[in-house]
Amino acid sequence: MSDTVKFKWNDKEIEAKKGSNLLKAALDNGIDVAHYCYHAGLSVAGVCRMCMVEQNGVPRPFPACNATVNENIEVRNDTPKIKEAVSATLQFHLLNHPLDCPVCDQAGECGLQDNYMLHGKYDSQMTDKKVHKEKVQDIGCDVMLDAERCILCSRCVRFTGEVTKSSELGILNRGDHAEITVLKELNNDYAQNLVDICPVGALTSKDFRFKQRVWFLEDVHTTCIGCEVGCSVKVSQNKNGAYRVKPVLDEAVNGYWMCDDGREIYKHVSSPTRLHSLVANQQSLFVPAEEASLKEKLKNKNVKLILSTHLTNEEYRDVFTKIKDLNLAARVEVALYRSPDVGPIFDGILKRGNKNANLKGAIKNFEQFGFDASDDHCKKLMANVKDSDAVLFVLPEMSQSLDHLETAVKQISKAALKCAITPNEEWSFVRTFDFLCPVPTFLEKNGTMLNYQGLERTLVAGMSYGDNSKTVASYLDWV
Amino acid sequence: MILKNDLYREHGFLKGLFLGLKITMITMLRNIFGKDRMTLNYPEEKYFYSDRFKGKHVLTVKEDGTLRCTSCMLCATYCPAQCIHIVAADDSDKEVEKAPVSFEIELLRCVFCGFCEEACPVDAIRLTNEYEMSNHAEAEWVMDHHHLAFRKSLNNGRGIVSTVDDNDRMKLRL
Amino acid sequence: MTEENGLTDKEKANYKDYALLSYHHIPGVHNLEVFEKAGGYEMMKAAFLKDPEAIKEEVKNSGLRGRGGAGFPTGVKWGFFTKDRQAQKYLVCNADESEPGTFKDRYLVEKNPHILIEGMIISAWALGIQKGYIYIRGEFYHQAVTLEKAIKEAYAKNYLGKNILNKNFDFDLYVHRGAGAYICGEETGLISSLEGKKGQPKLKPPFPAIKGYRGLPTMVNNVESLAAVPWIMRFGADAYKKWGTEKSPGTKLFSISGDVNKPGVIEVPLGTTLKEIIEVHCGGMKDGHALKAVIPGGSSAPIFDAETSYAVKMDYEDVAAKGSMLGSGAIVVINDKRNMGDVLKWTLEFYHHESCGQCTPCREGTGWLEKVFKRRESGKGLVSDIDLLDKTAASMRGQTICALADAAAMPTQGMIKVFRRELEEYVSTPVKK
Repeated sequence: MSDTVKFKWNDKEIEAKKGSNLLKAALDNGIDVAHYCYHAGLSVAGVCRMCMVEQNGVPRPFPACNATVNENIEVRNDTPKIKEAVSATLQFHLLNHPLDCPVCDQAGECGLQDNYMLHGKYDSQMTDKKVHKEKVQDIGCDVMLDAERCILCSRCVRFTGEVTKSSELGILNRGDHAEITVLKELNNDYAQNLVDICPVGALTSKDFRFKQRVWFLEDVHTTCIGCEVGCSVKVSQNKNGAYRVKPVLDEAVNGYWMCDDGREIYKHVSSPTRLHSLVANQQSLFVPAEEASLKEKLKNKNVKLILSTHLTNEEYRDVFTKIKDLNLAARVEVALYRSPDVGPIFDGILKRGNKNANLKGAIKNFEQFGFDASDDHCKKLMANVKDSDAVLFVLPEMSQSLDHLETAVKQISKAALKCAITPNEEWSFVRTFDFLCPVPTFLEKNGTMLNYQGLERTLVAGMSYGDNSKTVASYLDWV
Repeated sequence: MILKNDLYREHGFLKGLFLGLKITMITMLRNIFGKDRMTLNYPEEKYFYSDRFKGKHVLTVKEDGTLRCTSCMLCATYCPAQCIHIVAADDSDKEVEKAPVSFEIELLRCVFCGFCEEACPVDAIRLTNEYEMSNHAEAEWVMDHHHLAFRKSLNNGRGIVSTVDDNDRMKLRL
Repeated sequence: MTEENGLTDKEKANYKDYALLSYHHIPGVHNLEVFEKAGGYEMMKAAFLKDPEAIKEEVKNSGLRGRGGAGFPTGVKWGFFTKDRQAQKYLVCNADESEPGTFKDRYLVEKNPHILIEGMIISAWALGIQKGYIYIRGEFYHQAVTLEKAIKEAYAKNYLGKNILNKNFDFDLYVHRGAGAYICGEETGLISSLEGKKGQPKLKPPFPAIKGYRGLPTMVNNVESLAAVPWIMRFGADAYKKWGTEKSPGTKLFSISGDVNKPGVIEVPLGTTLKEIIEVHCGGMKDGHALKAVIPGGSSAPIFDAETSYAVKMDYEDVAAKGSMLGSGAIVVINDKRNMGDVLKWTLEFYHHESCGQCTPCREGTGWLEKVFKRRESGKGLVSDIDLLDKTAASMRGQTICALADAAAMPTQGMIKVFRRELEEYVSTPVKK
């Protein structure tokens, strides 16, 4: 490309677009530059003064975040002058910072901790009274603000000003009494991103508060199944459960952010309602059941199989291949249950109203194997359920329209044998079903989905929290 | 191993043997009859270890009687036996902010290395000089925070007060 | 009483001795008629007959340097400005004057607002600017009222507004009051405040001359710099250069305060010795006390001890050579009865209070410098604190968005360099309650 230029950073040659942000070019090429206020998804503030660099031909050090890439410039941040400047600026950041590490959730992923270990390691000479500001403020949307820990990088102010355009956060007062405050309370659908971008523990998630220490968690990079966007996310989990969801940069789909609805997708994965075996309904209580009991009930029945849109492309393929291989087409009717739209088709930032994660993938596979994926066909199938039928209903893993789902479940309750294929015993109306058949959640299977743009989104399996889960296709073996 | 060759060469085997064992014999006699008796008639006579001894754990309390522990989980992280289990929660006092809802140590797993005491930034957990921990196989071998902080042997149930961290916390309040 | 053109000495401007205070002896010169009678607005009318580039050239040749403190050649600054006369741009007069010790702009404007207006109209014509703002600090209420009245008078005579003097040139001038922030004297802080936002400085680059007020080219000049333009137009660059030195031509307003007999504002050529200023113009030290120290250019300038004070010439070069800066020309004279520790204490308090809080080294550094220096109040002061102050101040310099951190660090380091022993004694002596 004609506008890609080469330049040197600490003698390392880097290629970047001419005129692009100098700090971003360095960070994208794996160079360690200490910074707090710069974020590639927000405007440049240049207030933390950590990313100072020296350049050949420029008399004074300057912040790299306010500079642009040009051909053949030579930039350094490893000179003694810069190293001392970074250490001194870090010292200023920590001057009035409270000794909160034991009680702060950011410990382990904190910008101040990380930079101190890399660039600080000095003995503090601050034996004076620190400046105090208001701590432990619940500012709405599950975000906790601790103004004392704040290093005033202004990322949160810029986020609410530029991305959500709701401007709830601002900085009051001047000098070292400056503090982040909220006008009334946070009121937007992307507030949890504030927790991600805050480099210290000033903005923390109330949902995650005190639940785990970060170093006990492992991240799984997968895809959100909350709506048809399919944002790239990472779920933090350990053997005790999944704890939180954070977005991963994906320029094609979600950029740097994700919506607050997607933050809930970990809850059903490790919730105590997970099924650990096949269970049967005995007077509205579900008790573990023998597989044989369901097998003999299902044998040779006419089955109405209702699939959800939360299955991967591979799972749809396996189901249809199984139907073909076992010659079940005569007895098994397949339909696709779609959750209704919630909210506007597109809210202008990221969230979309269509909550069917793999709708495009489902339609593609249905059509490929000659099945009808339309909503009308599903409605007809549910209306035509006979009492001699067996219904296998693959419930969506989560739903924002429980009323609609409950109505659908009630519609098929005419059938003699009703089985829900679901990972949890979550909702009250599952008591309509005779059997609950465990399947893995989205976090426990590998596969692909197609989002609304037709892009392939990958699901990666992490740790498993339910026992005796089988795939949907393998339940068809019992038909 | 004959350590003093010259003794045997000079005096012959038996005499050399007894000469070499002179100090040992004297000590043995002292122990049996004299003052330096090593054997204690436990449980009537008990041995008291120094404060540095790594015995049973204690969770210290603040001056107002609440646990000093802020559930930072450094002890649980550092413990090589992974026998410490902590569940944290908000504390009603905003200055304190975080306190443990449950703090358990599986006594059978613990190797009494003292790493937890070393790791704690606020002197909340210490290993005391209590060494009497025997119990039956059916008993519960998990110590909860009531036992760790307020058992009878600690100031009659009032707990051991630690003020080491107060200076830093007081600095925050000034 | 000599009479010339039917005017008495009292009604005529004194251009021979003064470039800025030429009209100050005339009673009622804040009224437009009195100002005009004395010779005011003549140069403005003459300027419209001249080519704007010629005016810019004249100012450049005169060597006039920015009188707000930076000392950057005004003509050169004007040369960088866009030449597109149709483009929307602004002329901002920085009348924020918050540098401690400085009161020259106020003295100029409260007696003679019209000289500033005249200077601004000429500058606007030269630069092709259609709108001007005078940003005056909020505390100068009476001066703002005076300026607004003067502007009204100028509008009435069509010296401002649309089609000035039928020359097809529009220039609107407004007075905008600040609200008590030193940081709004910094040009980008001023622009932020003018835009209605918090008066916080912006990152440079981009510079205000390219992207200033509302993202458009903005020329920011000090009151004194703009007020000097009419005189330069009247007598030419060479006449202006007759005053002062080669690198620092012209005259300067100095505001002298402190332990002298006649504190106040004087206008003398640059290069005048400080000794002459104190002993001749200010009537010598008050009550005959000995001189201990002088702050030559506002509280941000490093301090001079007595020996240097009596040797230094007040121009940009010599003051810089002796380790300080001429700055705004605010001279604070300190006698030997004063405690240098107290002087530094008030200086540090000032910068802590005025830091805008945007960037970390200044926000935390100014607060900590004050805290460290005040450790003595709880009996915890140590001699090593002075070293700590020196090192902290050094690490604040050159790291920030604007120069407030440097303005706090330089006097600290300067004071320590010159009066270290006295400061060490000051901090290690417990405070008597």
